Amino acid sequence: MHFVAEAPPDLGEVIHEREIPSAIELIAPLVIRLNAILVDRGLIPEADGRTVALCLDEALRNAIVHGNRSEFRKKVLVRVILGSDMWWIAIEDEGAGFDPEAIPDVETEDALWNEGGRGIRLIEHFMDDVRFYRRGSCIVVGRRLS
Amino acid sequence: MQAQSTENVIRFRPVGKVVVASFAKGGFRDERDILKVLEKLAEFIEKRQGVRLLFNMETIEYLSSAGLGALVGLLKKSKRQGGTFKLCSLQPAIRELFDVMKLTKIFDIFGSEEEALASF
Repeated sequence: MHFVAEAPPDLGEVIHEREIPSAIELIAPLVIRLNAILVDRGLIPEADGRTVALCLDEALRNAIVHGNRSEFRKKVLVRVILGSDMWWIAIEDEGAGFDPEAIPDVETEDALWNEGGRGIRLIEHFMDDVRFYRRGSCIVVGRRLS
Repeated sequence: MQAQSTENVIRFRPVGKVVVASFAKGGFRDERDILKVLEKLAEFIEKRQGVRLLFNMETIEYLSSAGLGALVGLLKKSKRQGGTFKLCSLQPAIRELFDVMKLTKIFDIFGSEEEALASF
């Protein structure tokens, strides 16, 4: 897992930027909007929208619920970035980050019975690249340009 | 996206010794609705010791880690109550999530309701 304390580097051109307060009701409309941007730009085929939406849903939920503790006044900043061979979405909250060691390996026999801890694993499965900056308060997910 | 009311959305149908739970309406994309329905399933299991429950998921079009976690919770609750909880008719994208997370190791998942009913 790429997990560092530093801020994310310059990954390319920011083609969309949006800041939302920490309310889970705002996740679904934002995911729809982000998906539409990716499809309109030809960055993902429409058929792939579902898995990308799932990853964005998981990442935004983590940022709002775990990062910002659902405190409405705390913001989540979302940027869609177009790099030379990848597109990225950076999602940054105002929280203190997390301990990467605390993320359970949900695929072990015992952990299969855990009710939580699968969000990041799903993101890792469906995206080509997942990186954490600012001790985990910023997640950057990316896919290769086809 | 407006969450739908979950009143009368879940239907419980006895088939022999098994109760089949399914959605009365189709096309569930908003996970808030799905999670509310899963809470109703939890209440159902809680009140019926040893119930054999089959959850037909054919109309569920979206599930995140929260939904997967809730289903694991239902399976645990069912086992604690001495019951059986099986799944059937998952859409391919939903089935893929179970495969990815290796949840097929703990859940009994069947392609069709008939197949699942025959397994009880």
